[in-house]
Amino acid sequence: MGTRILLNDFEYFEPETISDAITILAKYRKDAKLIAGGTDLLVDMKKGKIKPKYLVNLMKILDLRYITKDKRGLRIGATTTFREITASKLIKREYPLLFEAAEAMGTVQIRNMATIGGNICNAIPSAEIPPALVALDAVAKIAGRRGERSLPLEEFLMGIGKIALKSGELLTEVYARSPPPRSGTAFLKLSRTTADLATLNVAVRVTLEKNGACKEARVVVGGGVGPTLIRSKKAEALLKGKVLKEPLIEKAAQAASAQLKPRPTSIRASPLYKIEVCKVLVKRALLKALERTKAGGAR
Amino acid sequence: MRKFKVVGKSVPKVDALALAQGKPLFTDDIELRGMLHAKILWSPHAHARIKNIDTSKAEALPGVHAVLCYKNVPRVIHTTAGQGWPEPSPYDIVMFDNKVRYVGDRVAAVAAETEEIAERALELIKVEYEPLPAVFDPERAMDKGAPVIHDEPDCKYIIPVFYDPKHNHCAHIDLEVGDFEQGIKEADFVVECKFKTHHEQHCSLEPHTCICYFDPAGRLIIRTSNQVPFHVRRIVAQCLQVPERMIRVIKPRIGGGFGGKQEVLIEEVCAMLAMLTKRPVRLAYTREEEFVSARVRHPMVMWAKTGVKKDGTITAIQLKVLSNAGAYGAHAMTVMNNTCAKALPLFRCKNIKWVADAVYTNLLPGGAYRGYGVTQAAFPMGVMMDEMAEAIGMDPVDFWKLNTIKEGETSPIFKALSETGRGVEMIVESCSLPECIDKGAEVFGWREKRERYKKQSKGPIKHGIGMCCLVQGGTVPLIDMASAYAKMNDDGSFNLLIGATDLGTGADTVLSQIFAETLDIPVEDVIVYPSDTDLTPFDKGAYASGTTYLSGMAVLRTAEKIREQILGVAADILGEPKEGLRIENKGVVSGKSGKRVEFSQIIKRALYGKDQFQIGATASEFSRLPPQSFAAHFAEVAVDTETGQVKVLSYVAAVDCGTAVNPKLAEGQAEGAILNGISYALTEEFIFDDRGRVLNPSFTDYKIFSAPDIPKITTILVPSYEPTGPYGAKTVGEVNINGPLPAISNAIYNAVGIRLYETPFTPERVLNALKEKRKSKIKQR
Ligand SMILES: Cc1cc2nc3c(=O)[nH]c(=O)nc-3n(C[C@H](O)[C@H](O)[C@H](O)COP(=O)(O)OP(=O)(O)OC[C@H]3O[C@@H](n4cnc5c(N)ncnc54)[C@H](O)[C@@H]3O)c2cc1C
Repeated sequence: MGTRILLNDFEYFEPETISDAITILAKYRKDAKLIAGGTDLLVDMKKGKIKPKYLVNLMKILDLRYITKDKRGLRIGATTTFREITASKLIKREYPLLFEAAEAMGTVQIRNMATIGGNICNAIPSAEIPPALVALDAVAKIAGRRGERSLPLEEFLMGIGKIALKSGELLTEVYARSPPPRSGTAFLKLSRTTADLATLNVAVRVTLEKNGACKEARVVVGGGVGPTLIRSKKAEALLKGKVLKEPLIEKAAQAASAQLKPRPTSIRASPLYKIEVCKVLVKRALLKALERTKAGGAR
Repeated sequence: MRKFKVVGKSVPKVDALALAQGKPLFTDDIELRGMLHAKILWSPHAHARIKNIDTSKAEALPGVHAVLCYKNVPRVIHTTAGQGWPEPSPYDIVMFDNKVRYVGDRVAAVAAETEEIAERALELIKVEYEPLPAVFDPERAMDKGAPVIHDEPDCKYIIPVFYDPKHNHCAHIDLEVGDFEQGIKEADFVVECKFKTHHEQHCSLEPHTCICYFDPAGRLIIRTSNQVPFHVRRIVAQCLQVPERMIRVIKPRIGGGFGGKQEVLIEEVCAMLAMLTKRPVRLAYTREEEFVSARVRHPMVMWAKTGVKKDGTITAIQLKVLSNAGAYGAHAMTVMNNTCAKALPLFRCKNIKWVADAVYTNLLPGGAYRGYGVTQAAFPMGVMMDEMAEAIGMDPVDFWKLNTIKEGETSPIFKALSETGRGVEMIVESCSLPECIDKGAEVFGWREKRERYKKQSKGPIKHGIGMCCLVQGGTVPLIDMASAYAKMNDDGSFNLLIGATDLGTGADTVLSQIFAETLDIPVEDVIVYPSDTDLTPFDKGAYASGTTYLSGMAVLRTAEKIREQILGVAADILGEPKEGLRIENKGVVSGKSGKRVEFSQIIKRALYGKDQFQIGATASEFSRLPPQSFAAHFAEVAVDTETGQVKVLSYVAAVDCGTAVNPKLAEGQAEGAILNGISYALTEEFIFDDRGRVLNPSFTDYKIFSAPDIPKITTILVPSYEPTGPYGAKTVGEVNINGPLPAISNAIYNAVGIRLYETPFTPERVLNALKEKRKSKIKQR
């Protein structure tokens, strides 16, 4: 690793509107890189992993930084920081899953800088916020020269460092579906120290029918268990329509863990360990979520 | 015991304000005109011969001023260990060799106008390697046919000790006091286990940093972040083949050392580059370099066997040690010796056998690390004590108390062995360990928790507690020396010049307190200036926990000499005999006449009035024996039986460091050491690939504890009075790092019934052990 903070020289832009940012991106294409909090990007630049010629800072674009809700869900602007997410009363009350995931992320200093958009777009498999968002059926909103489009976040995340952005596009917003009534959620993270990336993280949601059976479930596992997070539709299918009892939950956890494909070279834990502990975390998360549905439907 | 005015008070650190204000105090905080930047090329191979190096392209790069490699640097075999002379470490390293012995070994160095140019120059150096087979496992290093790591003919010790580099055998000593086999025969229970400890990096906030330049007289100034400035002067002079008088070493403020800077790791290269270029040169490690090319705690494999009678008497102790020295043998023998010399005197046992080997491997070289071998030995011994207590059905608290050394007692180990070889007979004249055990257990709630955790809750989280006792002898007896010089100024203040090396530990403050106490002045009247080989008298440096104890005695003696001079002048002023006078609150008072004369009057008389002379003195002290500091540690853990995660919930340390000269700083030493120890026990770990490369050379992947991870740590200082130390003080720097491995291992056993003999206690290791336990239970049935 070099001694210098940043290995290469670059030109630096601070656009104040989304369209200005898009113009710059369109002009310099592959040579340009967006920077938000910089907590991932600067580390990669220091290591020399990437050497952008043009850096486009998004933090001066006021239109990208907000937390609002509408009838069906929650809109979070791409440059909203983790600190803003954990400080939002609205999120803590109505989207505790996002609160828990955001709080599990990094340290105070990192949360002050890091943005939700950066966490998604950096697309490392151990990122904290994507599993929580996928469990809330979140949609990624994208802006580019040809206007806006949106994509389920699950499809937006394509692999290690890979996202569904075309050249000249940027992520502007994530839209999380508000959990239906009788929903409960839970987020669990396993890591070596507080300031460590996840060895494993799990986000789940269960939504119950009036009669108590499971109407819908989401089981999402992250933490270097594959090229990106893994949503276990198998586990979800096992739960759907059933009354959630511990043996069934264990079966679902088993199913989710069977889908994991951790890299054998992982530094944080062996693949075997991740697979084994995934069962435990998914089970615990589901039981906790279920408990919360009972506690008056608070999610 | 007299009442103290300054000693025993938590006065603020003398450098605290400047540090808090971010004043330019550290090595790297200066910028010299024309300063060049040095960078080092590291070996990508664990073991290889260098067939050729072509540096021509690098030399031709504009901005490059010098390139060093084995071709243009004299071959001076030496040791990097910053120890007294003759060093008890093998001479097995040269500045640049035509062979590399681990990934991260030094190949070449460049000095250039900027770091960027230096880095580019490194890329232009062409090295032709002939890779050689490598050996990483210490248990395989002495096998027939194992690659010989030090096949150079000139490697040697300069003291008469065992050395067999042709078999990678870096050190060997064994000893027996009493009759071990007989002791085993007398035992009712015999316990035998194999233990393993792992690599650890010091992770000092400030990396190794050095700036070399010339003064107007052409003498070389070495400004360096180092624990042993006087040894730096000696060893750099040796490597550069220049007289010591040509070199001055200055140690500014230091951002932590922990043993990692008891080493001449970069100074000689930086100095050589300055000599060649006639320009100031700066060389600073990056964090990655700290991980791949500095020093580590020696990993060890240990076999322990002990016998115990039903009544709790330990009849026999055997400890066999195999230390992984890595590629070079700096500190290998002395660290190895401490697994006996400074660890085993804790135990009251007549029959002790110890067999120790250190071997070369193609991994990171070991070095000094806080604890220095005692950390390694305290782990097996602490666990064996727990096992023996269990075998005879005795509470560990009672068992430890029964079997640990008491005031007025001796251990045959003292005489048999010291860190460097020869031992010194001694009686432990101060020991509050029994009170430490009682107070620690009480504050921790030992008996109540032990009862409570007999019944575990149904869920997957189980709780447990464990304890251990610790000792660490301070200083290297008969070898270590410290000295001080002080002079009185016009206003009655004093300059105190000490060779001692404050690494951030607070030594400057503690030594000022000892000086102030002796002359009955406030600490503000002491202007302390440390660690400058031109200006301050010799000190062995900051290691073996010795600064407060040994440098403290030197300071005390210096102050006493000055006191005599002051009383002499006062006697002349007052016209009374010296014998009736005493020093009191910055003045001298006559017991008989009640007359008083101020220090400021006394010094004015000495400097300007009559029979003028400088009131000032120098004094030194050498270590006659290693004072024994003790501690009792208690850990409470929660073990998640489904994920294997271990969390330390609370930790209590009761510490006997004699008189705590500055209680806050002593507590800081204890807490820092404990935290370091917990982090080592649970998360810190080097990960190597099968070619000996470090896969996690950063704080992203090598996890040390940070603020939110810190459990509740309670430190209780339980005073004793060490007659050979300054105002009863002993040592406190190291002893507490030795507790977490055994205490946590024992607590995990108490919680879930698994013994962890291998470190660190990662979730994966815990989970596997739990599985093994379940399997063996099924087998039993
Ligand atoms: C000490 C430390 C601890 C950390 N701990 C954690 C942790 O526990 N959990 C965790 O998940 N992460 C952790 N991280 C990683 C990092 O902080 C997060 O991923 C963070 O959310 C990144 O956001 P940022 O704003 O800093 O992104 P940046 O570094 O600014 O950008 C990251 C990437 O996203 C791209 N990008 C940013 N915004 C957009 C956008 N709107 N549209 C398109 N592309 C965009 C950038 O071009 C870049 O490629 C840690 C990092 C550090 C340094």
